[in-house]
Amino acid sequence: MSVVPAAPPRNRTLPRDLARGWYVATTSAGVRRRPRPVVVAGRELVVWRAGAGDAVVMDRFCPHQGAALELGTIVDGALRCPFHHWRFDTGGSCVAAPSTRRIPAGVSAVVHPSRELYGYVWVWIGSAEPEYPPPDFPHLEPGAPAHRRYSFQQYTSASARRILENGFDVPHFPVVHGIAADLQLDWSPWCDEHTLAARLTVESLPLPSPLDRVMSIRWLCLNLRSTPSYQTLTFELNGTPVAHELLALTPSEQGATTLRGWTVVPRSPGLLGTAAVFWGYRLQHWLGTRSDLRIYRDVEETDGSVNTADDAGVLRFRQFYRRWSGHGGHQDTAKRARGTV
Amino acid sequence: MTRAAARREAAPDTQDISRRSALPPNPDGANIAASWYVATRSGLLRTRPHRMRLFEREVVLWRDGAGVARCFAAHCPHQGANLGLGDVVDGELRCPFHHWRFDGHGVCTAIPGVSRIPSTARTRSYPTREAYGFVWVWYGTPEPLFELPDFPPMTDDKGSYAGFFYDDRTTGTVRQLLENAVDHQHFSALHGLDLDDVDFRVLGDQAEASDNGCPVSAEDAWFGVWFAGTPWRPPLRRSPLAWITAVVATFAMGRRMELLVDGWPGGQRFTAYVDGTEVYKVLMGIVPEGNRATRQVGWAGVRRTGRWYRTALNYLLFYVQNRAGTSQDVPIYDSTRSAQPVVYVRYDNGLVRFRRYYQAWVERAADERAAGS
Repeated sequence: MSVVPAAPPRNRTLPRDLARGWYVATTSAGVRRRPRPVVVAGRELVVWRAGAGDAVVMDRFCPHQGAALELGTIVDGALRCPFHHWRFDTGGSCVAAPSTRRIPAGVSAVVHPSRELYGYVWVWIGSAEPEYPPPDFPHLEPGAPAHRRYSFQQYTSASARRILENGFDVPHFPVVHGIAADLQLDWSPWCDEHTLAARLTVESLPLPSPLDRVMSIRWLCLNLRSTPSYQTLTFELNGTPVAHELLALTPSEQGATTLRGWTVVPRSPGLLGTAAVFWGYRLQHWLGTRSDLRIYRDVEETDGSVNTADDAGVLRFRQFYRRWSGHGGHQDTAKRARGTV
Repeated sequence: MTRAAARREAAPDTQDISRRSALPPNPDGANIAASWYVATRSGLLRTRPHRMRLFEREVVLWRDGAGVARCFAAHCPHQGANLGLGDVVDGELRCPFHHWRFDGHGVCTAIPGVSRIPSTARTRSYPTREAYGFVWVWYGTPEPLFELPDFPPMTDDKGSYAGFFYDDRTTGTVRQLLENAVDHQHFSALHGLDLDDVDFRVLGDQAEASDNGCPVSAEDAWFGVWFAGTPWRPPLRRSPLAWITAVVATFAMGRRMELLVDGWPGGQRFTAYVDGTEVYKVLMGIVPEGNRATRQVGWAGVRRTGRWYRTALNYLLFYVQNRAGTSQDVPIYDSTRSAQPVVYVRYDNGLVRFRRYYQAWVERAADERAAGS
């Protein structure tokens, strides 16, 4: 074991007003035989895996004397603390404490609800039990039709909400992404408690000169389905889906968020299913993310009181988001009112 | 600087924060008890002032005309310049900025161009001692509450030992480094010593620790434990690693190892025996630089056996043991969550008592801590 070099002290600040939800703790491939420390929503966690099983997300420090569990080893399907060899099973209960007559009662490590899906370890943050399901993204399931795909990962200082609301922010498309056409946002009827769905359409987008001879864009459509913590998007060109996207977040602490996800481009016989479209899409995605991140880098939270009619999309999303961040939501105020009466 | 380098400078370690191991919480801060602490090795303090961080503040160490080591708060009371940038002139420390001079007690003795020296022109001077190859500084109260304890292997009994100095940096706390010797259960878990017939006792009387040196001058500043165990030694062929661990731990001199540890709130003395024969002694001091910046320093040496090859073997085995043990302990110190609710079990009894004793001495330094912040 080598000596860990000292890092400068940091004060962990919890991300302000973060919604309850499923966040990515780390990639599945990042958790192998050794446990791995992560920070999600200001919480120090350790992710480990017993054999071939699903990853377990647990509080990072041993309840006994506070040693960091990522220095420990996995023995008989339990995580063994390096300091006094206490063992914790996948449910967090202490299953061995050497040299004690019996295992101390009531000692357990806090295990957070987690799921392994689409190459990520998802952890539920905000309450003891998940209040809505983790993402369902059939395009990456084993039986999915033929496609090309890539995953992406970017770091930003913006909050999780800022990233999720971006698709609903209609007036930023012409300015940041240079889409010089009329955009229209329609709310989809498939909204529920934890999902906000909308459709953003552009009719007859003029293409630059060499491209307009090859193809024409009669209408371009972006389907957005967002929960308070992750998002799925579908791009449609002239009625055919071009790309499906899963957008996930790791909010480490205030002012530190990692956005990650997958883009799936279906293969199809027409022009839209070709490698050229895949790489073209990937290039525009990269450029688009780059321009968004440049804005995110220096963005500051406002009180949200200065708005125009174009901002209806963002405002509705924020209203939806507030219900899940436990601040000023309808349910919350109702609960509080009931509590006081 | 290129633009890429400038960008890296602007956001040095915020990238990919979720993947890196972070320093764990430590709400109590450095939590330093009133005691003697090591500042530096004697040999490193020569004619130039030596500036360093100690007790979460800046200090300057220097030698006066008689060669006595002095420790001052680093900033000149006049315009706040760091005295460590100054020099020693006629046995006095001279500030680099306006050449005010301070004597060994921190009192200003000369101001160029001024005949009447203000009575407030003095800098905080910490009591110091020089012993066992180190400069020791008292922290916590204006005057020491006990004398710097005795360590015979580096004074009266110097010829009987062969040893080495060590210096290990960690982001752990002072208390963590000291309580490690009290936490005997970690010997078997962390260090892999499979022990039979474990015996552990918190000592009640300083006379029981007389092998470590003269008693500590204040009875309540003393804390001692005694530990014994027999490392399990399987046949070499069945489990070579366990066999080697057991043989190294007992220096191939016997079966039963004993460890006598005693100390004061800022340091410890160790004597180890195998089958009742003394093998080595250790002095451990702490350099409490600040919150999550601590060094454990000291001297460790084996007792000469009379046969040079046996002494050399013991020295080698002890060196390996000491360094290997430290390399297992330091990552734990670096990453442990401190000063948060913990679970105590039966074998943590000594630890609980040590923590109570240690915190009582932290209380005695309350005024000093308030003055520093």
